[in-house]
Amino acid sequence: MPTTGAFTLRAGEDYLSVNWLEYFGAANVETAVQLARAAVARQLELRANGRLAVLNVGAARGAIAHDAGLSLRIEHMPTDADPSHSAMFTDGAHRTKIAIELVVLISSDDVFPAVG
Amino acid sequence: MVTQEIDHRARIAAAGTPDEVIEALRAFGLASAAERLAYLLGLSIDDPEEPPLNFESMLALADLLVCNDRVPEPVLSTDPDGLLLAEWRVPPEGLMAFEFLPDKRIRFAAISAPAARGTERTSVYGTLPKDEALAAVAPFLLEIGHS
Repeated sequence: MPTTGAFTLRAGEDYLSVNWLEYFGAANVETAVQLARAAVARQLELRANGRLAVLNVGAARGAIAHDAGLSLRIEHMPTDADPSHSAMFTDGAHRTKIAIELVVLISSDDVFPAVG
Repeated sequence: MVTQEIDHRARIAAAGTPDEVIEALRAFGLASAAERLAYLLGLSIDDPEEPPLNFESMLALADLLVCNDRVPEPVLSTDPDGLLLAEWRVPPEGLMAFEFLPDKRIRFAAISAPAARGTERTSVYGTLPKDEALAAVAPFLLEIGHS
C-alpha cells in the first residue's frame, strides 16, 4: 500500500503529477494503467518495486472537502511525452492532512505494479 | 528500565551520524525500525533521485520511539524533502501519520475512517511539539495499541 509520502508535495512544489486514466479511453482499468505506465516511463525511470495507485477524482475531492475542509484542484496538463499528464494542486501547509485522506481511499485492488 | 531509557535517549541525543542513531535503535530492541531506517538511508545515498535523509528529522523519530513505549512501531518512509514519516493503521480503516520536522515539532494527521463511509468519523490534525502531539492523538494511539 502507498504511504503518505507518495502523496506529499515537495517544499516549493505546487502540484503532484498524476495521470488522467479516462484520457486513454481504455476498456478497463488494467489497460488504462498499462498505457499510463508507458507514458510515465517515457519521462521517468520506474522502479521494479514501485507502485501505481488508482484514485477516483470525485472521491478524492469529496474526502478532502468533507473533513479536512480543503479543496483539491485537479487539472489536465498534457505534455508532449505524456498527453494524459495532469496536476493535483494541494495546499502545502496541509500536506500531511491531505495525504492521509488520499491514502485511506486506496484499497489493495487499486494498486498496480509500476513496472508491468 | 528508567535508567536504560535515559541511557538510550542520551545516546540518541549524542548521535552525530545516521549510523549511530540506527545503532542506538537496534540496541534498544527496535530492530525493524533500525533496519528500515538503514534501508531508507542507503536509498538516499545510492539513488540520486532520492532526497538526502534529514538528520534532525531522524533524531526526532528515534527519540519518539525510544522514549514513548506506548507508541507501537510504525511503518517508516520519507517524504520528498527527506523528512521521516511514521504511519500506523488505525483499525478498522483509519490512518495516523507523523511527519518529523527539523525543528522537533511533529506535523500529525489522524482519521478513523475514509470520508463518506456514512459512519461517525473522528479526525485530528496539527503541528505541535512531540508531547503535545502525542496528547492530541491519544485516542488513536489507544486504538492502534488494541489492534
